[in-house]
Amino acid sequence: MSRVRVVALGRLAAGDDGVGTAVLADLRRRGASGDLELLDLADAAHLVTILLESGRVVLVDAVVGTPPGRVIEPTPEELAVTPHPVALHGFGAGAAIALACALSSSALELQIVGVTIAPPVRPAIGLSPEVAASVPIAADRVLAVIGARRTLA
Amino acid sequence: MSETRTIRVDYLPRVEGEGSVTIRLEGDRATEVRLEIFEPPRFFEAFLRGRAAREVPDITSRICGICPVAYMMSACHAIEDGLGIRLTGALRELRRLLYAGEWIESHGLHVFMLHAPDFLGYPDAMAMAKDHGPWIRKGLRIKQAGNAIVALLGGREIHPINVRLGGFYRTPSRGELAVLLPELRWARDASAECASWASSFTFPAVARDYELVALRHPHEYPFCEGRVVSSRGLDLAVAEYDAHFVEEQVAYSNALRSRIVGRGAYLCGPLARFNLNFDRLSPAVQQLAESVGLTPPCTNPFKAILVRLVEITHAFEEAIRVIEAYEPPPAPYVDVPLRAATGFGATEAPRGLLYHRYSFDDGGTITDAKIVPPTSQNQLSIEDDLRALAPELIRIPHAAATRLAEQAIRNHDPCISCATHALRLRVERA
Repeated sequence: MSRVRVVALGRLAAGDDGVGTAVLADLRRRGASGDLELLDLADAAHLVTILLESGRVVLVDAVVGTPPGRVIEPTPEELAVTPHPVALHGFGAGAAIALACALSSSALELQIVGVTIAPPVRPAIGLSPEVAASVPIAADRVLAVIGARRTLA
Repeated sequence: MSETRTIRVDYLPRVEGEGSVTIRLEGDRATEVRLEIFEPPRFFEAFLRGRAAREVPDITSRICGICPVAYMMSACHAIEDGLGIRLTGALRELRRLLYAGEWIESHGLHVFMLHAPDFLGYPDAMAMAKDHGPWIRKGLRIKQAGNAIVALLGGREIHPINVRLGGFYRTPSRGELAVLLPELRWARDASAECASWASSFTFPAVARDYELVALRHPHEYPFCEGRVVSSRGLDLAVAEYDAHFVEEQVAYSNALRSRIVGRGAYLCGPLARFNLNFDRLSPAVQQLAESVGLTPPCTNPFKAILVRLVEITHAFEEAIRVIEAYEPPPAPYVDVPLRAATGFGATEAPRGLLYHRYSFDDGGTITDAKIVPPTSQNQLSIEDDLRALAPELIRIPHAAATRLAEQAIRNHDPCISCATHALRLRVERA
């Protein structure tokens, strides 16, 4: 199997926004890193570079939605929730994917696994019970989608 | 009857934080200009009181996710100043290296993602990428080289955790730093190419009569140390800052704004640094600046994008110099025994002068804190820039005028979250 990079975005100090990092930790615990490269990104601008390199990428990210804790496969548009996607602090996943699409001469090999969360309102360490319960389900979904190739124009 | 027009942008895009602008034009004159910062105040100065001085660098770094190093450095310098401690040797050099990384990260994002689209006529970087992809790719790689410096020295690339009073918790080996060199050398050359590219942009013909304010060091282009100087003769020790600069509040903004006592608006940031410290750039970077048409005096705020690219190149040169000469220090930090004191620190954040003042007691508990970020200092000049553009804003179609006004604000890369770090809260009790 060719290299697959599983990428998480989010901040552990922002409560449920850190669910992607928790899913990566779950995958590490399972020893699932053989052919997988697990990357925890602090800056979504790095996601652009990663998407422009050859190889498949599975992005694991929190998505504002209800009820919290659902595991979904959102579109890039659903990740771009702000009206002004690129600002100094707000270079989000949706903007990063849009920029990578614009820069790439070929279709991106990207799949997205999302976990719905309530809008973060204050800094907090740790996940809410419902989002924490979704972590192993999201990790299962990551491993499942790796078997299904899909490209993003 | 003269034409009137009101330009209003309810939510300024491609700046950090939440603000809006209103410009009322009558004839070729702006009768009202309001940069309205409605991001909620954040009260950092108030909640620093009662905290331990050793916590201050980490707490203040949370004021901003794009320039946390600047807050850490100004805090460390202020507290160390109060205690009569001055870092030398490798620890001082590592601080300069960390600061260089932050300039590269911050300027890189601003130049390529936020500001270049204005000059090339695109609504954002995504639209610009279709036609100018190679430059965006270069910009992302340049920014990433800055992130790599901050991640290595700071422990992580956003909100570093490895800075402490007296130095660092851990210092890198020569080998760890040397790994960065090939990419830094590529990025230095790429930044110079990007400066040449940006020099082909069309710059509105504007010359402003700013009082420019920046640090000035005897030998270095300023990051962490120097005297506060201005283009109209100020030459102050950092400890004299409060006697010459005053903050005030206006009803329509949640950010304090600064004036020079008895004079008024001033400008800090890349344009000020460049004009006041051109001779402190390395010879190669001076030559680069001249080759792209930048020589002091340059008071066209639209050319700040070029100055940022020159500063990025200088920051890479400085980073390479520090790494090539690096010998690990005997210890990652020097002891900082606390006692009652008041200290003053100013460093050059990417957006300009960042002033901190702290008083603390014998137990090292903060009793008073004052933080003046660059965006607060530049607010009046940003409004004056818009006034100066009034004849052009009234002449061109409304949509173009709105775009030009936004671009003029982005010239200064305002960081609204920094500017709202504090708001004086007045409590009246019966």
